[in-house]
Amino acid sequence: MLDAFKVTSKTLVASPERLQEADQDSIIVRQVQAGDVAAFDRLILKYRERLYGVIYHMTSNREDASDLTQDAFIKAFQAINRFQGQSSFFTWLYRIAINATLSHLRKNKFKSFLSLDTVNSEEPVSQELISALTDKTGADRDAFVKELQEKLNEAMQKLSIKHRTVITLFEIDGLSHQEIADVMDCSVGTVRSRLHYAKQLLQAEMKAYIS
Amino acid sequence: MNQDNKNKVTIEGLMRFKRLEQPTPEFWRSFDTELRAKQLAAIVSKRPWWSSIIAPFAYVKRHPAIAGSAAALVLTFTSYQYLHRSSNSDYSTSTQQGVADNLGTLAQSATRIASQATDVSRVSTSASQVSYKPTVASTEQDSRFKSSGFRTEFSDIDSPAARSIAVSLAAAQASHPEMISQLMGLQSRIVSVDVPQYSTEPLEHVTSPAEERRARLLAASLPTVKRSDERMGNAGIERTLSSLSEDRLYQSIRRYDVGGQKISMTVKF
Repeated sequence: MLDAFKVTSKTLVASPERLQEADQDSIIVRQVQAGDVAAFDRLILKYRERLYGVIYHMTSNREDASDLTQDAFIKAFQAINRFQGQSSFFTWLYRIAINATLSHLRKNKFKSFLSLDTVNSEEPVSQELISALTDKTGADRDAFVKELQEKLNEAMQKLSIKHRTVITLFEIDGLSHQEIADVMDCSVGTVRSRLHYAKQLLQAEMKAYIS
Repeated sequence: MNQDNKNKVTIEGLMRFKRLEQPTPEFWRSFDTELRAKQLAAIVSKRPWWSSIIAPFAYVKRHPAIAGSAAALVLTFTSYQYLHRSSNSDYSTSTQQGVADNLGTLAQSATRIASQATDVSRVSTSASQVSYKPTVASTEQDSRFKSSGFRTEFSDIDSPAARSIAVSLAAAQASHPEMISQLMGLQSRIVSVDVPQYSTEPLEHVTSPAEERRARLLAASLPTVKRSDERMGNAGIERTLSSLSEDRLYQSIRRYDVGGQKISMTVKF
């Protein structure tokens, strides 16, 4: 019961590390607003992989994800003088990226195709997970990994845009319910509901791989 | 697929597996290059012509309370200025016209009152002289005054007080000629003092409140009276006015609305 409470509170409230990051970001943002354009590069280096990861898992297309990530940074750079600090820069940047991605997905609803990044199968986490899924080795193992990746991305693309966004932000990027609610401009209850429904759909799609 | 290990896999595990999809380092190099080019293009790109128009509205969008308050203040000030100016122009036009009319009437009234007052003072002065001269001439003091050889500058003075002083001085000179002669060493200085030359008694210049009120009320009505009674002459006017009570005069003026433009009728006293 106590562990469940801890998990729940962790998902509701931003962690101290996140708060510390927000303070650092606000300092950099003030430097950029004061005219130090080069300071924005630090924000790019800090958030480009996370932002790209979110957009990639929403679009399942690496080229689109790259363009959308770049556009999100450009929009943030152009509008940074209007950033008042009412939310953290991280939330603000995510909101720009998510809104741009949602708009892109709505425009290209019927002409999307997969363009996937390679799975780093050398990582220890990857080794453990793949071993749990199959005992194949060699070329068969690589083929299995590729098949699983495609199936997983197809299942993600079968979700609605909002459900895909919620499960990406929560399960892959690790944001809390409250942070997702801030980014998506909805309530925490809506986030939980969407998350629960998205998991059910994914389980149904991936039932061949999970119990 | 390994059925034995499948039970260990959850949806969260699959999501962790998906998290392992990561781009290569070459991707990030090209990503940085493209982003730098886009960033520079965004900096040097020419803004559209309508961006300068939208810029003020961006501030309004960010600070709606301040912008709304400022707009309300400006609107209130402008409305007040507009209403104040329009009412002033109407009021000033009518007021200037009314003031001009009243000033014209007042000037005419003042002129006539001045002429009337001159006539009245002349009549009263002559009446007082007529009533005073026989009295002075008949007194013994006056004969002593005239026979004393004393300088007779005061003889030209019509004031009874001055005459009384002169008579007393003449009597004192008759009883104590030496002392008066010594005192008369100061005569030149006494005479050289500028004594105001009143033609009448100083108290006669003080008008009573009743007379002031009468003059004020008559100021507006006198032209009408004058106009309607031109044949009567000054004596007739004075006689008529002196027979009026103040209440009656005030009621008559109120009834015929002296401030207006309809005064050309005959006033009924």
